[in-house]
Order: sequence, then structure tokens, then C-alpha cells
Amino acid sequence: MFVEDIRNDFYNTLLGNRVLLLVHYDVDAICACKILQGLFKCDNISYTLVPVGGISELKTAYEENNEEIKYVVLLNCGGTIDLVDILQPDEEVVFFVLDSHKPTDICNVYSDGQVRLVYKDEEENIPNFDDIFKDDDEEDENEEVESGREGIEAVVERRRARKAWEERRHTLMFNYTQFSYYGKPSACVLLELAARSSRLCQAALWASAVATAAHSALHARSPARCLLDAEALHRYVAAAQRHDDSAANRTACVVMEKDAWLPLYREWTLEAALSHAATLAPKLKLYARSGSSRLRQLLADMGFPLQQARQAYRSMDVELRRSLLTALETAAPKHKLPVPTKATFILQRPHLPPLAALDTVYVIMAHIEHETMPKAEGFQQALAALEVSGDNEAWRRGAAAARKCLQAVASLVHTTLSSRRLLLAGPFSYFIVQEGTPEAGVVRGPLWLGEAARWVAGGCARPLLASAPGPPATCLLLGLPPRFDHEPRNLFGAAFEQAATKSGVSVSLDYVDSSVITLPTSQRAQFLDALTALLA
Amino acid sequence: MFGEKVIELLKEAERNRDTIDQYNDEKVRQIIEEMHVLFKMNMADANATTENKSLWTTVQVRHSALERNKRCLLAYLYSRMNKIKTLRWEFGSVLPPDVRELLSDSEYEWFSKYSTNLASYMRSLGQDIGYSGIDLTENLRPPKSLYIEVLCLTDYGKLELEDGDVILLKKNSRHFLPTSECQTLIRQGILKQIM
Amino acid sequence: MGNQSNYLSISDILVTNEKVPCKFLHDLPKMGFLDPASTEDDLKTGTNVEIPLWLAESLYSRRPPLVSVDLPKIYKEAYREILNADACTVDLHKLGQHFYELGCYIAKHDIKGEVGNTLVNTFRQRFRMILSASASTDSISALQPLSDTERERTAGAASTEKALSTWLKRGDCPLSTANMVASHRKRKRAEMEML
Repeated sequence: MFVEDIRNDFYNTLLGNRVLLLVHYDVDAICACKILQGLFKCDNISYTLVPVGGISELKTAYEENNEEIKYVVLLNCGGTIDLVDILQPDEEVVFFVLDSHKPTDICNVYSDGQVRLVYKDEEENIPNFDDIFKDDDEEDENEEVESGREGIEAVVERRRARKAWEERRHTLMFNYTQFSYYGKPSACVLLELAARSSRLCQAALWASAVATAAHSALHARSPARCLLDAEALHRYVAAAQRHDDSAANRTACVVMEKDAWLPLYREWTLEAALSHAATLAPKLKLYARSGSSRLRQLLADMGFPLQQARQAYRSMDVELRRSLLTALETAAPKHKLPVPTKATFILQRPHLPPLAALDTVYVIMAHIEHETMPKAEGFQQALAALEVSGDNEAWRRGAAAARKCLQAVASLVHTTLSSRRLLLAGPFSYFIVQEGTPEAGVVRGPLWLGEAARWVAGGCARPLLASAPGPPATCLLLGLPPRFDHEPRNLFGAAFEQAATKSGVSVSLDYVDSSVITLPTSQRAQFLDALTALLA
Repeated sequence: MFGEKVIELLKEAERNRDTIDQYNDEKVRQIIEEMHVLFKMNMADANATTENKSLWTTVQVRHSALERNKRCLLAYLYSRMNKIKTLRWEFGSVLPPDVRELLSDSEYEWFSKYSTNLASYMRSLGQDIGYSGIDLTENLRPPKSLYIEVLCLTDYGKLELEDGDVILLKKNSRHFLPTSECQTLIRQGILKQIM
Repeated sequence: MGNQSNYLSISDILVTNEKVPCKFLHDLPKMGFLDPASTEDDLKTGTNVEIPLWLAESLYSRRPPLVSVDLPKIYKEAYREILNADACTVDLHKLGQHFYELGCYIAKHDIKGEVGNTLVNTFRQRFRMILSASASTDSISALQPLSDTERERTAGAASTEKALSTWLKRGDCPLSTANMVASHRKRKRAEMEML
């Protein structure tokens, strides 16, 4: 069931109750969580926050914490599974689900009040209730009552109708669940809630800006959709700026500016940022021998001496820093590169360097999929990195980790492409990260593996599979749809499921994002064969 | 011989000013032994003073060594006592087993008595104005808000709140709770406040 | 830093444990062990020995005094001149860990009565050092030449400074783990790592 009014039917119901908040490990969920925490703080709603990484973790988290809990809020998890069936909750427990993973499970949609979906996405083509559910008992009773020839005809007629209905239902369900994709960022939905409760603050704006940047940087949504999602945010940022011009110098504030779409370039060198940007690097073909000369050529066309480009951006010549955006804009088209500038959100801080939303996305990713830090601790660090006031220590540590991750991803991509490890298997290509390589530790989570996969694919027309070693003897398999940068709908979720049943491989479909699975390393070849046969 | 051992004992205690050490049973016994020896020598020499008057000064020197040892031992016990008092305020009335085993038996007895005394004093507070006691170990700093956000640092287990709700404190879980419920746990290092 | 002894104070006990040079004015039977250089049983008149201050005090306070107390070299003319010229150059940690406290005790044995002035003068000059050490980030090298109490003052100043600046920044200080609990944990963790 969908919530009609996000403020009255969702938020106000929670007032005065203790809430269990289950949050998925992804950038959007953490941003959304930050906004919700801010609201809860204002209204003294006591809550317990548990991060969850997958469906089984969701289950244990619920079981451990459900004592005396009446309201559970799920952020970016639980929407795509039948919650009531999986969690077996008491009848009076209510689940509020805000999940940008789509499609939403049909049982959640038509739940009569126990599962309430906070936001209704207009893009979703949810089948009608009557087309999916039918009261079986009623029919059986009717069958018995009638008799005689007419009766039999009627029964036959009804059976035929029923069969047709079932077929129709099957097609509808198939069409509905065929692709997995992402909806509007949850943080943007909660920003609306904050605005409606007149609790809009810079922290909420910033969190929502980071979530928007995440969806566009990680290609969760098509570029046009990303722009539409951020529409409300643009309005609120503009309004807030008009509002407190006087306070601008004293407190941190979110502004919208044209900025270079290069990861962490303020914390890095320009050369490094250019060669680690997911939009540029694949096109520069840095894995090839001629790649570095292409990069040098680009810098030369921009008018940046190599010596300047190689030193920390902060200590680069001021004139050069000022001319960066125009230089990029004029030089990039000459090399047939996409223009790496974009109107994006920046957090201006008093007496401290500004933070870019894109950088924060990578910072959060580096925290939650840290090579050595446990995930739950990384989650806390990620929340701390979203803080707007004060000197953000967690952010800086995350930036250092993110640089390392990006470097690992780059070197992984380069070795994969230069040593021809990108293999072709009928309808799709795939690559496998070998166990024991220095990069394997970085890409053992879906976020960084996804980053590497997108980089390897470079927008080619073939779907791509990436696999990396996970916990002992198992591996992670991630599917990337073709032309993900325009239409990020992912067919692999359904395909994985079918291939698993056909091949009999014991696949674990634990991830909330269905295009990511884990399976025993020994059975990977068998599974890929089944998948090839299925998609051919 | 002359109060050197006892200095070692005190230096040990002084090195770890912020924590309490294992009660050094062995060393205390040795020092008391030393004092017995000094005392016996003094007895013998005091009896001999009638023949040799100059021994009298020797007896006096030994006596001041005895007094010195006594003073040092008392100082040792006294400094431990102060630390044990702090234990009651910081760890609460139930000591974790690893702290408990640092105390000697009589020290633990003293701790229990102090704890009971403090508890009954706190219960008696404010009865004339209709309160049934005030927990002095709470609100050592003026609280700034009714609810605070906390991060759980260890797997603590279940916590029952005043309103009967039960929450599970598991490592790295975050909670937003009434300040009054968390203070003691924060002081005990189980929760950490997040600003 | 008074002369009235704090009977139970460990730091005072450690101060009175410092050795001072003494000259014995009478024979002391059976006390030969006080002079490490002698092999005889008795201590002869006129021997010069370094003995702990507490023993020296108790021998000195006899009527007639059994010893005459000499100044330790840091309080003597040569060092006094250095200290009066520029006290900041002196490494008090090496030369006199309890410079001020011991000085208070020793002042009465100084016939010229200049030790007291030197103490005040020295502190006045070194105060700047303490202040800068408390604000310094490179605390180890800044702390190096300071005496024990000076270090204590520095640590106190630094923690106050820090508390003030966090308060100014956020206007609020989070509740935190109690001192002894935190250091107990820290120590336990260190011990675990040692294993």
C-alpha cells in the first residue's frame, strides 16, 4: 500500500513511538538516513539504527531488534522482497519502506496496511490488483452449486477464462519484474518531507545533493532522470541562498556551481584526477601505450604545464586553477572527449576548503567498502563524513581511502584491458578479478566492482559481467546492462535467477540489488555457461 | 633495608595514576617483614643500651625508618582507596570481573561498604521534598538535550528502558535515546555520544 | 609545595626520598651500611654520605643534631648563578626532577638564605616555557626539559585549553567515557597486544 501523504501518513505516525531504522549500505541510503536522523532529532523520536547489507542481514537485524517495536523504517532495502513473508512479523508491526531499488514487490504494493511504501514512483508500471490477485475460494464454491449442461459449459468457459487470465498475469508479471532498476533517490524524497515539515537545513540539502550526485556518478539513473530528480533540490538551494545571504559567511552552505566532474581533484593532482575520472579515462585509453601521451596532449591543449598538473591541486598556480573549467571545456571536444564539467552542488564552508558532492560520493563509497575496516564501522564513518559543520576528519580520511580505491580500480582496469582479460562469451563479455592480486581486496564489494565494470565497459553495446573474489571460496558476480549510461535498466537480476535454477548452482541472491550475486568460485564456470545458453 | 622496597611500591602506583593496579600482596608482605626485622633489632639494642649508651641513637634511627615505612604503606593504601572510590562512581556498583580481581579481599569489602553507604545516602536525598532519592552519579554535567544520539561500542546485550521498552545494544548500532538512560552507559564506555 | 608534610601524599614521599649530601657529626654504631664506600659496622664521625632527605631530616632534628645537611649541587652557588642568568637553559628533568619541592625542604639548610629567591626566580623565568609547552603541538620535545611538577602544570594547562577551544567551537561538549574506565580499557588493550 502506498502512503498518500508523506507527512501525515508516514512521519506523523512515527511521532512519540520508538522506531527501528534499517539502512542499506549505499550512498543514497546513508544520505537519506542523515536527513531522517535530523528530523527525528528535532522531534525527539527515539530510534535504533542498524545498517544492513543484504536480505539475510535484514532478517537478523529485524529479529534482534523487534522487541517492543511497532514501527520499522527501511531505507533502500526491503522494497523488492515480500517483507511479510520473509520477516514473519507480528500483525501490529508496520513497515514503512522507502526503497529506490525497483521493481517493488507486488505483495508489498498490495499489502493492506502492514507494509506501507512511502513514495510512489510514477515510472513504475504496477499491474492492477485484479490482474494479479483473484479470490480462489469464491470460484470453487460457485462451481459446486451449478450443474447440468449449462453448468458444465459455464465451468468450461470459466476455466478457459481463468487460463487466459493466468497467462495474462504471467506476461504482466514478467514484464514487470524483467528489469531491475533504480527509482528516485530516497534522499530526495525525504528532502521533500523535510521541506513540508519546515525543517529544511543545510545538512538535509547537502545529504540530498550527495545522493543526487551518487545516482548520476554511479549511473543508477539515466542522465535526464537525474536532472529531473534534482529539480526540487535546485529550488530549495536557490531559496535557501536568497534567504540567508547574511549568514553565508558564518555557516556552511550548499551552492550550485559549474564544476569539473573529476573525482577528488581538489584533494589530488589534476593529472591524477583526469586519469581516474570514470567519464574520461576509458576514452583516453590509458591502458594502451599511447594513453599517457594522449593525456599529455590533452593537458598541453588545456595550457597546463605538466609540472603544474602533477603537483597538488591546492598548490597549483592560481591563474591555472581559475582557468581550469574553460580550459577543460575547450580542450575536451578537440580530443573527442565528453566535456567533464557539470552544474553540481558544492558545500562552501567558512575558513575551510569547499567540498564537492561528487567527491563525497567517493568518500562514502570508500568508507562503506573499506579494504580493512569492518563494514559497520565504515557506515558510522560515512555518516560522520556527511556532517556539514566543523572540520570533517572522517571526510578527509575517506578521501585518502577513496584515492587509493580509485587507483586500484584504474590499475585493475588497465591490466584487464591491456592483457586481454576481457573475455567474450556469446551475448556478453566478462572479466574475472583473480584472487591474490593487490586490487582484489578493494573490489570485493559491489560498489567498487561496479565502478571497475563500468570503466571496463566504457559504454560499449554489450552487456558485461564482472566477478571478484569475495569471502573464502565464493565470488561476487555483477551484471552491467549494455549502454548503461543511457538506459540503466538491468536485465541480469532475472537472468541470474533463471540461470541459477537451470544450472543447479547454489547461488546466493542475498544482495538487495538483484544484479549482484555471490556463488561458489568452483561453480562459476558452470554458471556462466548456463547464463550464455540462457541469453543466446 | 631502609624503606627502599616501599618506594618501589609507591613508584609503581604513581606510574599508573589513571588506573588501578593489582594489589601487590607480595611486596606488602615483604615490607611488613622488613619492619618486623627492624623492630626486633631495636628491641635487642634497646636492651643493650644500659651498657653502650651510643646504641641509643641507632635505635632512634631505626625507629624513624620504621615510621617511614609505616607512612609509605599507609600512603599506598590511601591512594588505592581513593581510586576505589572513583571506581564506584565511574564503573557503577557492579565491577567488571577484570577490575574486581585487581582488588584485595579487604579492599573489595571496603568497596561494597562504600557502595552501600553511597546508595543509602542517595536514596535519602530529597525525601523531604517528595523525591525518592537522587542518583548523584547521573548528570555530572548539565544535560543539554533530552535525547542524544549514541553509538554502541561493544556487544552489551539487552537494555531495558524506563518505559519498559527493551533495546539490543550491539556493536556499531546507533540509537537515539533519552539522555537519562544513556549517561551511565556512556560513562562506562559502552556507548559513545555522537554530536 | 609547603614545608608542612602531607602525610599521605605519594609525591611528597617521593620528594623526601631524594638524596642529600650529609656529614655525620657523631658515631653511629651498626649503621655502617649507610655509607656504600665503607666496609665497617659502625659509621664514624665526619663521614660524608648521601642519604635520603627523610632520614637526613630526622637525624638533623635530634638534639644535638647527628648530621649537618649540605646543599645538593643544583642549589649550590655555581648552579644558582646559571639559574639566575637563564633558567630556561637548564634541563630540570635531568638535574632535579623535584627541583621546587626539594628546594623548599633544603632552603633552611642554606646559610646564606638564597635558595628561596632562586626558586621563585627560576619559576618566574620558566613560566613562559611551561606556557609555550602547553600550547605546543610537538609536546614531547617541549616537555623534555621540564621537571615533574612543571610537566603536571603543562598537562593541566593543555587539557584546559583544549576543553575551552572545543567548547568555543561547538558550544557544547559531548558526554564522554569516565577517565578511569577509558584508561583501564586502553591499558588492557595494550596488554592484549603485547600478548
